[in-house]
Amino acid sequence: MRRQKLFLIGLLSPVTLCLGIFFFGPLLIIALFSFLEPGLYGGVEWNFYHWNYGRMFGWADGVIEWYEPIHLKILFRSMMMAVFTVIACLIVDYPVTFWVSRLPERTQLFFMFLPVYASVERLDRVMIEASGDLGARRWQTFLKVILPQTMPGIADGSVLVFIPSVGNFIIPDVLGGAKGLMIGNLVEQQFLDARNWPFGAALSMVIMAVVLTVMLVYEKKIVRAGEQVGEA
Amino acid sequence: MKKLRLGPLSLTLYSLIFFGFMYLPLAIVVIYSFNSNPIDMASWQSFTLDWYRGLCGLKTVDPSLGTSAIYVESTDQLLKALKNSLIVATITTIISTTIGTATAIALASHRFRLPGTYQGVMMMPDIVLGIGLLIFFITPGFKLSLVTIVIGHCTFLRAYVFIIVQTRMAALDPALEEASADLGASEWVTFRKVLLPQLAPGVIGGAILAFIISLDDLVITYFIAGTDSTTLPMFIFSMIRRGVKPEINAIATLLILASLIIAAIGLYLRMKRVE
Repeated sequence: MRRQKLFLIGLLSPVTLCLGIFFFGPLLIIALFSFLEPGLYGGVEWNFYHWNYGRMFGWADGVIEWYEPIHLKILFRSMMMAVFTVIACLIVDYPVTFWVSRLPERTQLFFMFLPVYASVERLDRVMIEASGDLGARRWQTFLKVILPQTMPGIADGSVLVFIPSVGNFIIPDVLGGAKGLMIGNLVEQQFLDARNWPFGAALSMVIMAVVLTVMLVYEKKIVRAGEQVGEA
Repeated sequence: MKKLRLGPLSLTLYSLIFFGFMYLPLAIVVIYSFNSNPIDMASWQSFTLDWYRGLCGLKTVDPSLGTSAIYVESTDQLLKALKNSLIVATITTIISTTIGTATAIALASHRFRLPGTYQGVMMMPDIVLGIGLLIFFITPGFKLSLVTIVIGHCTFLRAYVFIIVQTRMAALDPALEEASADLGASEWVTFRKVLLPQLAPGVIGGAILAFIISLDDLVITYFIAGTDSTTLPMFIFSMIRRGVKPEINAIATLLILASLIIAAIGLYLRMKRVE
């Protein structure tokens, strides 16, 4: 038992170190920086300063009379774009997964990575046939049998698409043109051009909060809805 | 399955268009890597292998073009960026595969499952991790270099390896391990002779994925790369703004070829184990 414990500690210590230092370290330091005062020529002053968030929500440093929620608009635009990306990906990809699941098994090995595909693969064919035998129309079978069963895969896949597309600044930069400023570009500019690190950190905190909320709600709601429809 | 709404023919057609659309940009890159037009890559002049020769150092660019803005960067810089990328990807793959596999084994052996929320926290937008690591390294005064890139890549690639190995782990038969222990094998022998061979396809798959993503990553690398540690994606990205060297198509083609070969080896090993 003792040896097993040692074995376990040995296996888990690298990941703990790696995560503890290089994952949670950066997270904490972002949180810390988001409450510091930006220095005059880049860098930070080590004073508590809450106007980074004020600015994020639309008040320019300490001026309450003047309200312009430009950053919220950019955030909203980025979220909408990420949502549209997810929807477009789902609509475009969903039929393809059915096609792939009919290919001979050897060929299928190429497509193992798709979460939606994984759930289509596991579809209970018997239930589909039973649904048809019991007189359901094809669209009824699709809505009541196929869709609920693939819902977990859809939820996983959506999250996988949503997260990278919220923060991405490279693609908007290359393909977006002048009007397509996204939240990712804004963060990048704060760090590399404007040199206002605390504001950039505050922006990333907000991105993180939104992503986590959307993800938790989405996963819970969608998966549960899928299970309920499946049971009914 | 015959009762699906979409008829097989239209579904097949749709899927073929889908994959065609996905791979068309790659095909264009490959075709234009043989284009001899040095100024405008997008218009076809004639067939040439010059860009490939240039990469091998066998051919130097015509001096009359040497002063043109397109040739600001030398092929040497391009090759150095490629070298940096390969070094980073190799080291990252080794480290993240080891860590990811160890985690998967440790968690599986104790039937311990991470709650969904915890996994959710593990995934965050690349840009957040990128700037987090940037502040993290800069504030105490670390110099940005290839080492910081490797650290950054390992931090997020470890999760990919972990997920793949864990999936494989879940499909294993625990009876085999128990049988091995019953037959008197020590834990270490069981691990080496029973567990590891069964896990190999997952480990290989994870390693390949880690290598390719590391080679390809731009968002995180962008923030934590130092001045003399430019990787290939960064180099290409900076070139897009200043005009693109035709050699880049040749490099891209070679990289596509390399990833295909790596993926093929991975698939082969995988199928061999499955049978």
